[in-house]
Amino acid sequence: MKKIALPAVGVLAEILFAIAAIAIGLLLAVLL
Amino acid sequence: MNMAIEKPVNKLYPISYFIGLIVLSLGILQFLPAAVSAIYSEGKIVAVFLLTASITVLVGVGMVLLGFRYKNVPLSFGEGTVVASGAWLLGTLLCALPYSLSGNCLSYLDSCFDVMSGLTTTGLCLIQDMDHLSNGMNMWRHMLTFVGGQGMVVLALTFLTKDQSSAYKMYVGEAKDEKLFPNAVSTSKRIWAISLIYLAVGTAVMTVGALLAGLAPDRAFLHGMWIYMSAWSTGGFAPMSQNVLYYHSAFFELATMVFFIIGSFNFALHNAVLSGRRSELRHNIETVTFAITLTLLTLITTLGLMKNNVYPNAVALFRKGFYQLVSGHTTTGFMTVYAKQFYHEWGDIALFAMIIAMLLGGCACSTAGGFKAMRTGIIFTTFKMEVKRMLLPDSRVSEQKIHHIRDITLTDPMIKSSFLIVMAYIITFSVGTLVGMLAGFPFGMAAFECASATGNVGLSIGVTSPAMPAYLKLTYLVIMWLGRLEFMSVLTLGAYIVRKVGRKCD
Repeated sequence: MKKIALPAVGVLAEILFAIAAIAIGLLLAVLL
Repeated sequence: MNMAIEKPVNKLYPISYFIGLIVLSLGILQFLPAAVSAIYSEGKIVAVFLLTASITVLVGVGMVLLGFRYKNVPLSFGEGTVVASGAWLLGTLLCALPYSLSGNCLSYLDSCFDVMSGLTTTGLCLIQDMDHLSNGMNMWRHMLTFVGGQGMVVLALTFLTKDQSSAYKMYVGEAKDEKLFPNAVSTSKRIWAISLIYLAVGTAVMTVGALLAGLAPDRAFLHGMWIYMSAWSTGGFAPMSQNVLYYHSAFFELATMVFFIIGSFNFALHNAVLSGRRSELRHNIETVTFAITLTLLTLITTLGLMKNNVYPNAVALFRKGFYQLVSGHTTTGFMTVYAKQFYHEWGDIALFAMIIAMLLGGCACSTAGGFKAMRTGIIFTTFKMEVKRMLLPDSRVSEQKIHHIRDITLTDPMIKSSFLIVMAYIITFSVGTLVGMLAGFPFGMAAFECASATGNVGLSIGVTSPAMPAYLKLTYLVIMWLGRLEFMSVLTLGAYIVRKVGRKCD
C-alpha cells in the first residue's frame, strides 16, 4: 500500500480550502 | 464418465457470514462506551453496555458460524448490496438496545430512530434529557455517527476480513463506489487511516476550543472529541441539547465549520491531497461544484435574512445564517440557532435556500448525504454539453470531460445513473414532505424536516420530537436509511426478501 506522503501539508491544504469556503460567507455577509 | 452434480449453495449462508462479521464488529465496539462509563462510575450504564455488547457479539458469532462453511462462495452485486443494507437494518436494531435498556428513549422505535439517525450521520434526536446523559451513552452516540460516516462495511472490511472476492460488492452496497486502491479491503483501510489522522488533529483542536469555552479539562476532552467525531462524519450530534450554540464560542464555530467542510470531501480526494496532489482541491468537479452552489445559496440565504432584518450585523449574519447554511449544505446539522427560529424568524427565502442546500449535500464517497456534488456537477455539465451540441453541426461529435482525480469522459451510463439517483431523492423528499403534512405540520416545516432526513443532515425546524406520530418517526427512519445507502441497496434487499418469501409460499 502506497504511503500517505506529507499528510501534514495535505491536511493544511484541506484546512485552507475550508477556510477559503468560509471566507465566501464572511465576505458576502460584510459586503451585503 | 463420472460427473458429480453439485447442489447450488443457498446464498443466505454467505450473506449470513458477512452480516455476522459486521454485527460482530458493532458488538465489539460497545465495550468502549462501557469502559468510558466505568471510568465515570456509571454503574447501570456499564451493565447495560456489557449486556448489549454480549448480545450483539453472540448474534454476530452465531451468524458467522452459520455461514462459515460458505464464506468463500462469491456473492453477486445484488447479494453484496443485500449484505450492506441487511447489516444496516440488523445493526440498527441491535445498536438501539443500549438506548432502550438505559431508559434514555421513550420507546424502542425512538431508540431505533436515534441509532439510524446516528449511523446515517443525520443527527435528528428523540433522546430524552440529553443535557444529563451519561458519558457512556454520549460516547456510544458519537461512535455510531463516526462509524456510520466511514461505513459499517468499511469497518468490518478493515478489521475483520481478508476476503477479496465479495468485498467490493458489499462496499458498493454501502454507497461508496470509489476505489482508492484496486481492492476494497485496502481502500477501507485507507479510509480509516485518513479518518484516524483527522481524529487526532480534530480532537486536539476541539479540546483546546472547549477549554477556551470554559469546560473542565476532562469534559473539554470528551466534548472536543465528540464534537469533532460528529463534525468529521457530518453527523450533527452534540452532547448538549443546545447543540453547538451551547458553547457560545466563535472559535468553536469556526473550527467545526472547517472540520465538517473537510468531512464532506470525497475520500478519493482526501487520498489524492494527502498523497501530495494538492492541486486536486482546485480542479476536482466536486469542490468546484460545492464552491459554486455554496456561493449562490449564501447569496440567497443572506438576501432572505436581510429582507426580514433577522440579524443586526454581519457577524451575527455569518455566525447564524452562514453557519446553518454550510452545516446544511455539508449535511452536518450542527446548529447555532433554536429549531423554532427557522420557522418563526428566517422567512421563506432563507428556508428555501436551506432546503436546496440540504438536498444538494456534500461529495460522493464521503460521510455526507444528499444528491452529492458529483451528481450535481454531472447534471449541470450534461446541460452544458447538450446546449453546446445544439449549436454544433450535426456531423460533429462532441465529448465532455469532467475532472475527478483524473480526466473522465462523461458517458451515458454515468449521466443516467446521476439522474436516476437524484430523481429517487426528489421522490423520497416529496413523499416524506406529504407524510409530514398529513401529520399536521405546515408545508414549510414538513419540507424542511424531510429535506433534513433525506439528505442525512439533522437540522431541525421543530418537527422531530418524541411527541410526533409513530408513522412519521418510521417514515423519517426509512428515509434516512434510503438516503444513506442511496436507494438501490435498500430496494434490492426489499426485492430479495419478497422473492425469498414468494418462493417459500409457492
